[in-house]
Amino acid sequence: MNRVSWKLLTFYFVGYVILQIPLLHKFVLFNVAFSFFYLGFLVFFPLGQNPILRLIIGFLTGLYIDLFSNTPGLHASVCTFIMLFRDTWLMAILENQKGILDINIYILKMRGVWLYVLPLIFLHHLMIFWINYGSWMGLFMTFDQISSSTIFSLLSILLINLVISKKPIRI
Amino acid sequence: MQQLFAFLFRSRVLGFFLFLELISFWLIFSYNNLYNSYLFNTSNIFAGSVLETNHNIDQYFQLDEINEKLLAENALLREELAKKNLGMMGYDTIKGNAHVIPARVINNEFRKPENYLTLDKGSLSQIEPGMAVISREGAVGIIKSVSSHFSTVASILNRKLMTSSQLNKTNTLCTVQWNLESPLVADVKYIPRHINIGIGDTVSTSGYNAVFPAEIMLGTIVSYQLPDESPFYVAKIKLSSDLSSIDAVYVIRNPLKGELDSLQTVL
Repeated sequence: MNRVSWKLLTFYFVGYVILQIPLLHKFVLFNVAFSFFYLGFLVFFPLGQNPILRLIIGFLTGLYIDLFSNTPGLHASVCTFIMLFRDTWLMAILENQKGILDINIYILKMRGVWLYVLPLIFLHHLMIFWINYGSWMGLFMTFDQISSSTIFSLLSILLINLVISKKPIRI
Repeated sequence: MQQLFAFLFRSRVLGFFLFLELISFWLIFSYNNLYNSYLFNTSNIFAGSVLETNHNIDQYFQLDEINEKLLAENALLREELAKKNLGMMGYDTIKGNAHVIPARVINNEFRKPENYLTLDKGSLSQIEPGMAVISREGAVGIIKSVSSHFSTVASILNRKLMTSSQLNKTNTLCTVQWNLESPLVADVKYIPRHINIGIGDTVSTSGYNAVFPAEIMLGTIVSYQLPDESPFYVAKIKLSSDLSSIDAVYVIRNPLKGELDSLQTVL
């Protein structure tokens, strides 16, 4: 049974959440792809924590982003929703590796990226754009934004994780 | 009773989740009103000061560009001064009964359906919600909420904002509203079909709603159609102020706004 590395968690918080604010309106490709890489903090949050704590972390992270983007409640609601079932989902992906608390790209492997990180980011972006435009019509209009933003966010989340997390040493 | 407590304890996570979602959606819906101000936006002191630091770092790398803009603005001011000396100055309404408060934009968005700017001046500089914000090129938006040092502006790139305006050629009253298409283009609505309009005609604010002074430039018509059954033209303007690169703005304080508003509500 590994323990939660608070050092790693702090690095995640700085790299994903703090760094998002100055880059919020600058990481935009061709006016369609937005990068919400703060989501990486929620995606790689340690497994097996108290569910109430998990919901609070999701809510506060979302609220923090809302504070800077004039969208009160938007990111907070979606992040809380994501955090509700995140552990169940992750547990199903990592079925054969019991007792892992810290999550990083080396533990998830390609399978985890396809089955957990990518769908989670897509769901998050779908809900953000849907609530923001306030109609199903808007959702169809912005589907190019949703899909390109998903890819852009995924790439930036994985890149930041490659920089922060260490490759496990096999004994 | 004990079973009830046991049930509540078992579903505490779901209950807490629903509680947090309720808060979020309450925030979403209460912010939807254009003039209501709440804690969680960029005009509060925490977000404002972080954004200001951020803006200062950005500005350091854009000093050349800003210098050029200032030179251009200086040139324009000299020109206006010269005009004034000759007694030919326009903008009579501004000169007559309004005050102008200069401010800098420290946060800018223009890619969302509802866009807001953050300014570095607040209630200490006598800025209040509902005041007009203009730039050198034309109208920018309306002050939405104010803290002591910062304020947020609902820009004209906000689908909820309908600006009372007029076609300068014929003084026809119309309405300008953004269509989410591009930060440079907006729709002009309610121009009746008996009016002759052409590409290049200018549209400016009408001054009827007491927010914007009259004759602040909004843009020039770039395309128009006249559908067969429609009583109005379907027209688009190119906005005169490019809100994607805006730095210096002026907040217009109209001391007569309260008087005008209360008189109009009596009617």
